[in-house]
Amino acid sequence: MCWAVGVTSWALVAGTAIWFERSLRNGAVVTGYALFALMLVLSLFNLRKRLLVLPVGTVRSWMIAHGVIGVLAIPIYFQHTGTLWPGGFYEQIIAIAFYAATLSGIAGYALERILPRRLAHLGGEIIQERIPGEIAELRARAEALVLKAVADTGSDTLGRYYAESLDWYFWRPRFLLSHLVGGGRALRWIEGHLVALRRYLNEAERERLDALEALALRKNRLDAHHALQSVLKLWLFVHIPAAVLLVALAAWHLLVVNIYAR
Amino acid sequence: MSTPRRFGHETSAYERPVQILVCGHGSMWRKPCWQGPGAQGQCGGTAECIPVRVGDRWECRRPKQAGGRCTEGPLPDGACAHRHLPCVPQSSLRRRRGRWSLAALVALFVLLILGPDPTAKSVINPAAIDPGALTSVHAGFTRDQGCLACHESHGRDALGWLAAAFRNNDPSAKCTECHDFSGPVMRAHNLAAVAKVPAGEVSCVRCHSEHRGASAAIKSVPDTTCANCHAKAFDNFERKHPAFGARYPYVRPGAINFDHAKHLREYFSDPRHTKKPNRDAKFAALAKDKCTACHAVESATREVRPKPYAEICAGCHESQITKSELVLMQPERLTPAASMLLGLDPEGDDAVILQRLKKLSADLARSGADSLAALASGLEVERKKRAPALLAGLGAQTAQAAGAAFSAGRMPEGPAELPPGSWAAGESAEGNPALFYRPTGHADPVVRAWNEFARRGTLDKDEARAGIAKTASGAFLDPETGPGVCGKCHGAALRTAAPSKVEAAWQYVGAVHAPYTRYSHAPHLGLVDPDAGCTVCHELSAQSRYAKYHGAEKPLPANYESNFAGIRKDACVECHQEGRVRSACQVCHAYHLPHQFNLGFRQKALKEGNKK
Amino acid sequence: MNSAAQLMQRPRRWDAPFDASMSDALVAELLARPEFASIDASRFPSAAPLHGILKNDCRIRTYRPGDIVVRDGDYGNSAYIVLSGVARVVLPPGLPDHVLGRSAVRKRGLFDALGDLLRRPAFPEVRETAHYETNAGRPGAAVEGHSSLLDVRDPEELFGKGVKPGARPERLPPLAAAFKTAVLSPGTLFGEIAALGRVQRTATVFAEGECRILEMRWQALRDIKNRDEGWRQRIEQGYRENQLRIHLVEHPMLAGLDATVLQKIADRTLFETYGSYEWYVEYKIGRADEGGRAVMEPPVAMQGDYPDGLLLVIGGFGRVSSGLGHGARTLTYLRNGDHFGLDELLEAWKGGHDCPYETSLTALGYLHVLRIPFDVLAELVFPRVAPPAGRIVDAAARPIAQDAFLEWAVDERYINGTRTMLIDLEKCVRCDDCVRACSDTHGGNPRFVRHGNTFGSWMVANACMHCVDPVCMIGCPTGAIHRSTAGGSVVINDLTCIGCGTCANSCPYDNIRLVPIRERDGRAVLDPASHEPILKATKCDLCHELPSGPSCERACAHGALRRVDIQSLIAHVGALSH
Repeated sequence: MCWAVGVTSWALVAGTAIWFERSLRNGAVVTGYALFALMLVLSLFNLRKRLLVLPVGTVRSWMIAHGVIGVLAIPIYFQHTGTLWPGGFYEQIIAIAFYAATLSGIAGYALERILPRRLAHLGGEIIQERIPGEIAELRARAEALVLKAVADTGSDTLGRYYAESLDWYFWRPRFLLSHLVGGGRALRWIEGHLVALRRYLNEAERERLDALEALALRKNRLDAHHALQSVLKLWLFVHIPAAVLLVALAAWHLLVVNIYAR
Repeated sequence: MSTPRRFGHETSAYERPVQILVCGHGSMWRKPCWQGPGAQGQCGGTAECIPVRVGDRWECRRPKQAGGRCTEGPLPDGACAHRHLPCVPQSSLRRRRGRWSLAALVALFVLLILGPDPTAKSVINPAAIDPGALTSVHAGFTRDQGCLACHESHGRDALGWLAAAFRNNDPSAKCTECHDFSGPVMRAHNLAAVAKVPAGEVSCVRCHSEHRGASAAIKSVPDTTCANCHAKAFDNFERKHPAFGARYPYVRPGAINFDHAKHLREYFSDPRHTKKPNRDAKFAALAKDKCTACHAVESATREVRPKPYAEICAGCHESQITKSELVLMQPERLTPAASMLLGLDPEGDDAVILQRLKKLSADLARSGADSLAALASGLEVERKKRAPALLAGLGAQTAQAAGAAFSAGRMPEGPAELPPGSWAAGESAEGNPALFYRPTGHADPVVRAWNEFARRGTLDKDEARAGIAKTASGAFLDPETGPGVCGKCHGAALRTAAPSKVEAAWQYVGAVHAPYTRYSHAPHLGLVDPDAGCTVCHELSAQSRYAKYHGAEKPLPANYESNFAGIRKDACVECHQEGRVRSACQVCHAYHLPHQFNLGFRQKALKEGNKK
Repeated sequence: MNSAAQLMQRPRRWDAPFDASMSDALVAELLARPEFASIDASRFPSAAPLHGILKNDCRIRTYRPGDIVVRDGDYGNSAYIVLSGVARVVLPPGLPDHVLGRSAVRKRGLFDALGDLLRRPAFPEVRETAHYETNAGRPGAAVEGHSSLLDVRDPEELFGKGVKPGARPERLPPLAAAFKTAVLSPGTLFGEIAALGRVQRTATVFAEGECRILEMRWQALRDIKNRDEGWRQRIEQGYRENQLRIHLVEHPMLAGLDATVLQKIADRTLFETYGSYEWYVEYKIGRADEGGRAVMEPPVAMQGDYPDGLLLVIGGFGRVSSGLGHGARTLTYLRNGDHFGLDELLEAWKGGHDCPYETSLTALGYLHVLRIPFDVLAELVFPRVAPPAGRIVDAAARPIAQDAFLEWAVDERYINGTRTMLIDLEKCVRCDDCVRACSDTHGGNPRFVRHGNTFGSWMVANACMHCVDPVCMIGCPTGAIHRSTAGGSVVINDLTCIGCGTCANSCPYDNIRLVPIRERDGRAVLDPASHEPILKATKCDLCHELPSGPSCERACAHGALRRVDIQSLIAHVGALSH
């Protein structure tokens, strides 16, 4: 339905612009104002989310409309500019902003479709803000475990190993890229290290190592959550500044065109 | 299934994503403290609680969310036993995102104000309004004035600049400062009245949009633009363009009577003609097959004009001209020239005519050519200063001798062989006594003067005299007997041209007429055999009645039929079709009409340019 | 076996008496009163004698003039008998909400909400502490567990112009003419229907002069009612008159029967309560150890037993299960409006021979049922109603995997919720827009936490579910937590909340949180005596002041968050899991 409305309104804009051109008037005026209006609607989405009480449609429908409008702005943009890369300096900046906002939007849409599923399948749902505290707690428990192991068994193999490797691992989220693409580098790292270490340990120490492994695996899942949830938030660091720039530049463009050529 | 029971109501607090600051420990992967940042954005404190003195003891006040009362209890001095490092509170992710956006905006403004060239001395950096490079031609002409050359609003102060947004700022108005058009600038095709133009006036920039780069094609217009108005819209020359007219483009008669069919098929090829004396057989053999014998392809443009008379006509026709004498006067007969001078109708009373001729003969015998000049000078239509041209070269002795002989009624004694360009009194071709002039050849001034004298005479206010002049002019233009046989080739042109136009009437004018089309032979010549290829387009038409116009006493342009069949569209389509040669509207048609308009720089603009 | 094990006596019913100050003398005084003297003590078992009931499950409280005994709209587990003094009951339409510690529902419009956004404090949990000063809910008030009509902000409204109630008058001045009251003379039993039926109290009772009132826990009431015919008739008569007819008329099973038939059924219907009203206490303890199954579920009917009547559920929840392998498989759960045993009784009625139960019914927490005997059904009901299309036991044919979500929801007691916050983790982009929206609606403070138990990709977030059985409302000393008169959502009146934490501790789902409050300038508000922070209980109020409904749901741009009655999802999610 929404796509039908979107395609219809796109056809309306494109048709009007062509009709303008055919009657020897400036079709760019039609596409230009249409684009500016669309950008305003797109950026109003943010405001709408803040003013929930406004009876202007649900946020969900705004979200869908945001996607539809964003996509239909692409053909209108190209109809307006008629080129991939304009000539003027500030027009080039507009183009950069448009491409950045559009491409990041498309990427964000894809990420928002893919990553939540992966997060859901990871299990161990956690609020991202709590991850540092959780990691700190796991680290404290791991350190306590190692200290106690060293004290209990009288062997510092585990302690040395912790200082050499696990300390690095437990310090902060690791292997983020691997987690992001769904690779198993972190798991293999843990496995490989522990297998290598196990041969130097006695029975009592191995029990402690198993407990350490459990902690490392829990941390591994936190890392995955951190990687995926970060990306879900970070793409907006491109999208929103680009959109802000785009709207500002479009307004300036509108002014300049009206002063110089209309 | 995970069971986050640890996040029970006593052990975990609300997450507050609206907070703009978060504990800095989190960003260093340490446990964020439960207090969070302080009121002024400082660290919320290094102690986990502020113990309270109850009686003589210090009591822990750590809240349940942070772990509840600690087992150790406060230190003896009342300080909390659980201390941690202070932190630098960090902005929340959203706040950082907002700052990014703000920073991007600020960077944008800086960029637009400073621009890539900070030395520019305007409030708004040119980069901030730079819409792209002009075509190289325009870029050169506007270098001094800059934007102001075309955009008036650019020169205003800040307020006026902004106010200009609400006015019409069509830069087209500035185009005409340099470009001149023969008609109204913004009307379709620069024609005052063109029906059905949707927009009424069409701004220059609709088609010629600038700022698209130094080498942008700002002159070319897509076919769809033409189709906007032209009701029979088509996008395909091959299939949709209407066929050319049957006589296209030879619609208008040319000035010179040159029957291509007769020349090529008879005069150049039939031995009866080529073997005649005074015929250039060599040229005929050449011209029989080759158009280039007469037409100068080297300078071919829209038209391939014929070479000059001397090169291509004189060979056969010069002797015909020099042979045909201008008879000024005869004692017994009123010649056309004499009828003009005396103002006598040749059909009038014979007695009066004879009496006047006698008197003229006597005057001639007495005062020579002066008597003739006096007659000519007295005529209303001729000024004195032009009269001498009519009698140029006529010596007093010749005139007197002629007058004496005519009065005496004897045959004047003339030279046996009269050289061209000289007057003589003697025996005319019919064997009668006469004062006559032998033309020097093509474009003889005396013969031309007499033709013009007669043509102008037709404008005489005196109807009788005008009639006399008309008759005389007709006689002069007789293709067989006229002096210098001018009428053989120039007849139709001189008959139809207004008497006031002199040069135009005698000059060559081609038969081709296609005002809305442009064509150049030059690029096409390479495609065909330069000697024989012309017939690809230009085919002689067997049925054509060429003489219907040029042979007529009263030539009507409507009766003109060219020797050539109309050019067929197929001939063009052979190359101009999709996939081969461009067939866009603009290839043959131009928007700005007529083609001869002065599309160029106004003198004024150039002068102003020079002054600067 | 395990020498390290701690030895401990098995806990018994009266290890912790209702009120330790109940002395034998007081019990003797009670036994001398006519209400108790008429009871034949010998009918009580030795494990739970009448004396013990009075001593351990009852207490005597003294109310000063103006003190509120029960509040209109409260839930409570106690019944009361006036021993001496004069108590009054307020007749409809009752006292204004704010007198009862409730917040008046103030519908906020567009501009209010916009204004809130602009005025949002810079700090979390900021309160205008000045508002507390003149109110009964101010810190330290109502420490004795009941608030007083004398503490109202505007006495003139309550007592009429010119009446100046003293600080502690001997007798409360009469209420203004607008409020109709009736005297509850000594010996009057009140509050028993709310206690036994787990329904809201229907009227406010306050002390006019100083009066002594006996408060009986519902267990005491139940035991006495079961042993003494006089009490039984007295209670059941009241119940039949007030509640039973309503339940029967509203029950879908009996819809369409005319009034005389219903009256006949009502006369012979029994009502029974299974399980414990304090189920949430056991449940929380049980959950801490094992998970749902550790909690005892009192049986109501067992598979294989023979039914003697139809059970109509009018309160609480019941689990219908059938044996599967070495365990019991949950087929469905019953709640108000459902019935149990119909299939078997119908078959018996048609076939003329007894049919055993095909499924078991156990009480999840408490279960309140009406039992309509078989002969009544055979005579009055079966001939008149159309038999149901399917049988409950048919559900046993479903694939086992399909029921995982149902088992989980029942074990977690999410069946209690009516507006449970369910998040589809496969759609949720973790943007926190829901939390932010909640926060914007509540002065910059979120009222839920976006985490919780998960089943597959479904997460039940820590947000108030607005339960059918709102156990959080039991024991609130000031009536701050209550059902909103508009919409019925459970809300807390911040002005009257004293931060005691009773509600937060009662909630089995950890959906109520206590927050330390601050002044507008960010300073924490502390109790002057103990330097403890002043706490307020907070939870989701379903944005009941907004016309637009819960903000969290409205804010979700991805359709991931919904406020649902979980029953509507069981079939859907079950099919997905399968």
